[in-house]
Amino acid sequence: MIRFEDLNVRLGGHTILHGVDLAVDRGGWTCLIGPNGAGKTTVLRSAIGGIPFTGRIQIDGMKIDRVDPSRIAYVSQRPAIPEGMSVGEYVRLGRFPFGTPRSDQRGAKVVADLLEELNLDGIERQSVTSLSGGEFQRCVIARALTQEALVLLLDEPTSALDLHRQIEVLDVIDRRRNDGLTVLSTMHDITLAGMYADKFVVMDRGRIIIEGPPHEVANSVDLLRTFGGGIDVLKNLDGLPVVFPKRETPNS
Amino acid sequence: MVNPSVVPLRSGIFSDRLRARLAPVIAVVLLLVALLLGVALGPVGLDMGKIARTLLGIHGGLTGTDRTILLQLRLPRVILAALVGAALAASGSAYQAVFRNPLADPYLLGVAAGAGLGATIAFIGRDPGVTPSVPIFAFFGGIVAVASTLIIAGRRMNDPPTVLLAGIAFGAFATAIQTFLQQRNSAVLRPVYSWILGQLNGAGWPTVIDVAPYILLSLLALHLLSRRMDALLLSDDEARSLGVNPGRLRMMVIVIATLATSTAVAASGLIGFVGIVIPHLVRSLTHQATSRAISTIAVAGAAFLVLADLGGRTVVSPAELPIGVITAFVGAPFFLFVLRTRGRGLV
Repeated sequence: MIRFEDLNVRLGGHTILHGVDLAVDRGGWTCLIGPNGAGKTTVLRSAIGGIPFTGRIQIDGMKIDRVDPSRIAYVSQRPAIPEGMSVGEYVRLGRFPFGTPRSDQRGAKVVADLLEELNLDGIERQSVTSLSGGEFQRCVIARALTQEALVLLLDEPTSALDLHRQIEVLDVIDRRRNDGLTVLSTMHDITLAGMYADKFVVMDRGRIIIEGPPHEVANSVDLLRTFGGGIDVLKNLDGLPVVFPKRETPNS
Repeated sequence: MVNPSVVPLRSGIFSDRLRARLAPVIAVVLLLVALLLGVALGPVGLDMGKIARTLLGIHGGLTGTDRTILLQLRLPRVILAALVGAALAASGSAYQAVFRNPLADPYLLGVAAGAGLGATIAFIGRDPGVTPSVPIFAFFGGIVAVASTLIIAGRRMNDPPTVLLAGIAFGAFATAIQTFLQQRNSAVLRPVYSWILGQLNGAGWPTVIDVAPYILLSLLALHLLSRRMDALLLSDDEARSLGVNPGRLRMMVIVIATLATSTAVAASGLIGFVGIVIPHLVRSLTHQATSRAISTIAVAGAAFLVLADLGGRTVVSPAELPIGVITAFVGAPFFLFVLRTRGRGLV
């Protein structure tokens, strides 16, 4: 599990996070929701040492600075696209913490399985710079999953994907939770997030506003208020929340 | 949707794995051939069989003047060319990785400008001509330039664009001082210009012995760090999640590559082109974008510079062309040819 206690982040004289307390159980999937600038990405970046913070972050009860950083895989919202690297080479970078290809005997199979699961096996030899945004996003997720980490941090993992690919990719991640993978993600698509996350955490201006099961949070006044009343929430046939932006028409 | 006509699919008769395995072997063979040609050819042609016997200490080798030409003139010269070529190519590759910039070259952080200023000061201090203090001044000029660049970048030392811009600004400043000094001391114009074009003539065993430890140690260190350098191809946050401290690694690589480059510049002047073209060429031919190709790049750089030096002293023999002219004159068209004919792109 991953636990944040009294997490505070200050950057350039501004306070970005105010005492955030948050825990994701082993095998759980928590999704951070909130408007731009709420501090969602900062929470994720603090867990990988990308940003100085005060407070405590623990993984399975161990302080974060004692945990091997490679046990926390990270999918960035703005990943670097290495020039000239093939899809296969890129995905194999996730096995870096396991040593050389010779010493990492399981590596080849883990990489091959993920390339197949994410439908990348047909383009393994293609250069990553030639890919569409969605294809590259699948590569980034494949790279993170080959790391076989304890915790997976996903920053807007589906922003470039087609609708049908979104489900395909999130299903691949979801299956890994049976093996104990803990997922903490940010997603703007609250409807999609509600299909996978077992907990929503709503953030606004560096603070947690409300947290709980997706259907409860989605129907809360706090969520509506966080987005300035600009959303509508319905329920689908499975009882899951369907959240979409509301347009104020002149006649309404 | 990507236009299929521009998708750089990797094709060819060799698989990527085979290419990666063959490349170091081919590079070493190329270097050995280059070294052999380098010692055999010149104004006085030497018999290859006799060269081999002399080097192996077998009876029937070269004697007299030919032996002196081989052991005291050509051998130290080709070895120095190989060391300088390896240092420049490997440093170029390292800089390209740490700055995530395919245009990064070994002289990027002001090494060239700093070394040029150092050499100019050394020339002014003595009678015009090559003086023993020139390499020492050039070496320290290069080191001081990079140290100043990093100090100027200050707290943003981990931000590649800031370091690059600081390097460019410091380079311009050092070049301005160098130009000012040259204008005030017109007698040094010619030797400084000749040094800037690069040269290996006059290189003897003392120079080789001086530079070999620095360059070989730097190459070994870059080889050992090459696997970690792959993580720098990702963003810093992504590198951290692979267990790499990008700031610390970047600084280590910069220091090592600068040591290698400054040593090479001190020994041979400014030889352009090797550090930028050889890494791209090797990565393109081996289909390896990762830094693991760095050792192959070093060996290929060594072979290229030995051949370039051979060209420099045979094309207009008995006169010599500056080696920097040869590297650009031969390397540029070849590079452009490969750039045009390879679909995949040269990075």
